[in-house]
Amino acid sequence: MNSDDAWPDDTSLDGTPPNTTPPDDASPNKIPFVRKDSQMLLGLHTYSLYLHGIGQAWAGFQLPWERQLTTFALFDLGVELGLDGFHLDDGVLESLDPSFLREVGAAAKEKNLYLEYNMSMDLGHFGIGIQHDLEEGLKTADALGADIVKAGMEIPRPRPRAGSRFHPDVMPYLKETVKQLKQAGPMAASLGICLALENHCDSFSQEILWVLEEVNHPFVKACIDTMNAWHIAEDPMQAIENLAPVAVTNHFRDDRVEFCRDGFRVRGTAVGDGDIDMKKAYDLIKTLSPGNRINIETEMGISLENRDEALRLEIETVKKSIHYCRNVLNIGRLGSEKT
Amino acid sequence: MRLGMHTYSLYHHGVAEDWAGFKLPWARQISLFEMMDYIKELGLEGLHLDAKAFDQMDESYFERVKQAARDRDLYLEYNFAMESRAYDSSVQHRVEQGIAIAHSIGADITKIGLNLVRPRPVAAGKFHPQIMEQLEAVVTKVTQALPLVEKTGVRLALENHTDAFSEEIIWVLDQISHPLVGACIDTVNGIHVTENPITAVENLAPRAFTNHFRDNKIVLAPWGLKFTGAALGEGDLDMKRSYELIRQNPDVQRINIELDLDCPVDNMEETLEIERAALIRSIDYCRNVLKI
Repeated sequence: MNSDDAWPDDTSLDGTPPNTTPPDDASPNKIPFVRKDSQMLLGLHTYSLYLHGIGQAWAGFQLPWERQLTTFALFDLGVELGLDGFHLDDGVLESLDPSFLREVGAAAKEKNLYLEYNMSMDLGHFGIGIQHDLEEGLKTADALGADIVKAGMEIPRPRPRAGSRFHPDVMPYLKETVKQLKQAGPMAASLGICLALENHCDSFSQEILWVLEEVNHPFVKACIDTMNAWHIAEDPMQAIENLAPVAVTNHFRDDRVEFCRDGFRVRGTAVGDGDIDMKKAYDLIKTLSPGNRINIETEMGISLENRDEALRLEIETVKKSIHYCRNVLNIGRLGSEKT
Repeated sequence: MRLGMHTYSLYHHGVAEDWAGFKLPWARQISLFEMMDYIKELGLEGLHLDAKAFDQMDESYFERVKQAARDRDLYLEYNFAMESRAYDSSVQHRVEQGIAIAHSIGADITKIGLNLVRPRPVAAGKFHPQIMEQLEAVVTKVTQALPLVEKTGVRLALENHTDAFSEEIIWVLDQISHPLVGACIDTVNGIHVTENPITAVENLAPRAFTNHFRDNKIVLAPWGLKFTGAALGEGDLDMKRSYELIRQNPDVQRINIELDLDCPVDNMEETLEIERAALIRSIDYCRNVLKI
C-alpha cells in the first residue's frame, strides 16, 4: 500500500456509507463562503503579533511583558497596514461578554474589516484557548459579526507521530469531532457562519478530509494551515493540495529550514522568505478553494532581550509579508481575481 | 539482516564529520580501532564510517583498518560526499578518490552525498533548473568513475541527503543505469526538503544498497518546530514501516543505526554517556522490537 493510501476501515461511524445528500438548510445563497465578488481579500492571523501579547499562548511561551495592543488598536493597525480583516482568537478579545463582542464587531464593520473567529475544541485538554464549545464559539462569532469559526481539535497523538495517521488512539478524537461538528452544523447554518476545521499540528490532512466526509454538512469545511503538516512529517504542499477544495479559510504561513547537528529547525519567516512554496500554495487556494481570503500568519523567534526591538521586528515581518502578498502574489490587485 | 552503526551516532566522541557548523569542544575521545572493539562489545556487526573516523589518511593505515575489521568480522561501508564549498570539506572527495579509499579499507559499499546547493523555497525546488544542472554534473562524475567501480567491485550508494528529493536520486540512478550504482536511504532526510519521509523510503527502497536508519523527535516551539535526534523507536518517525520497506529489497542486508543527538556540551563525561546510552537503547530496539 502506498503511504498516502491509508484510510480507516470504518469510514462511517455507524457502518453505513457516508450520506452524500446535503441537508435541507444548505441552499447555496445561504452559504457565506461562496464568493460574492471576485476580489481576494488579505487579512492577518493575530498570532503574527504574539509578541505584542495578541493571541493565544503556544508551546509554553510566556510573554515577558504586558500586552501592547488592544483589540481596537489592532484594528487601527490593520487599516494602517492596508489589511482587509483579521482571523482572531479568544486570547485577543479582552472579554467574551456579548456586549463587548458587539462593540468589537461594530468597530470592525466601521473599518470595513472582515473577522474570522479562531478557537480550539481542545479535545486533548492542553489548555489551548478559552472557549472550547463549538456552539459557544458560534455565538461569539455571531456577536462579532464573524462569518467563519476556525476550530482546532488538539489531539494528543501517540508516538511515533509520523506513523499515527488514523491510529486507533486517534480515531476516538476524530469521531468525537465528527459528533460535535454534526451537532453544531445546523446552528452554524442558521447563523450563516461556516465552521472550518484546521489541520493543526495535531492532524493529517486526510484525517481532516475524513471528518468532513463524515459530517457532510455544507457549513462544515476546512481551514488550511500551509505549514502545519510539517509538524507530523506530512508533505506540506500535499496537505495544501488535499485540503484546498474544501477550505473556506487559511493560515498562510511560511517557515524556513535550518540544518542543525541534531536534525533541523523550521523557523518562522516573513511570507515569501521561507521554504514553503507560497506561490503554489496561493495558486491552489485561489484555484480550488471556495473562500476569498488569505490570512497571513507569521511566527517569529525574535530575541526577547529588547522589547521595543522585538515589537518592531514583528511588525516589520508582517509588513514584509503583506508586501509579498500584494506585490508578488498580486493578492487584491486588479487582474488577480479568481475565475 | 546485519546490524551496524553510522559513526555520526558517536559524533560527540569526535569520530564523525562536523555538520551544520558544530565544533566539538574537546579532543577526539576514541580511536577507530577502539570504536571497533566497542561496537563488537555491543553486538554490532559493522561500521558505516567517514574520513573523520580515521586516525590517519594513508594506505598503510587503510590496510590496518581493513585487517582490523576482518579480524573482528565487521563489515565496513565508506561514507563521503562530493566536493562543494557549501558543506563540510573534511569528508569530501572526488568520486574516484572515495572509491579508492573504500576499496583500500575493504568496504564493499561507498555512500555518496551529492552536496547539492538548493534554491529557496526548498518546497518549490524539486528538479529546479539550478538543481538539474547539478544533477547532470553528478551523472557525469559518477559515470566517469564506473570503470573503477567495475574494477574494484565497490558499489556506490547515492544518498537522499538533506539536499535531495528521493525522485531526484532516482532520476540520477536512471541516467547512470548501472547495477553497481544504487541508493542509500536516510529515513529522516526526506522531511528536510518537505518530502514525506516514508514516501522517500518507499521510493528509494527498491533501489537501495544501504541506509542511515535514523529517528527524530518532533518538538513544537512558539516559532515553528524542531526535528531533533532520538534513540531509535523513541522519536516520531515510523521506524517499523521504514524497516518493513527496506527489508523487502533482498539487496539490502544491513541496517546502519544513525543517531544525531542534541547533547549538552558542558560536561564531557555526561555527554559521552548520553550518546552511548542512546546507542544501546537503539540496538535494543532494533534487536528486540524490529527483530533485526
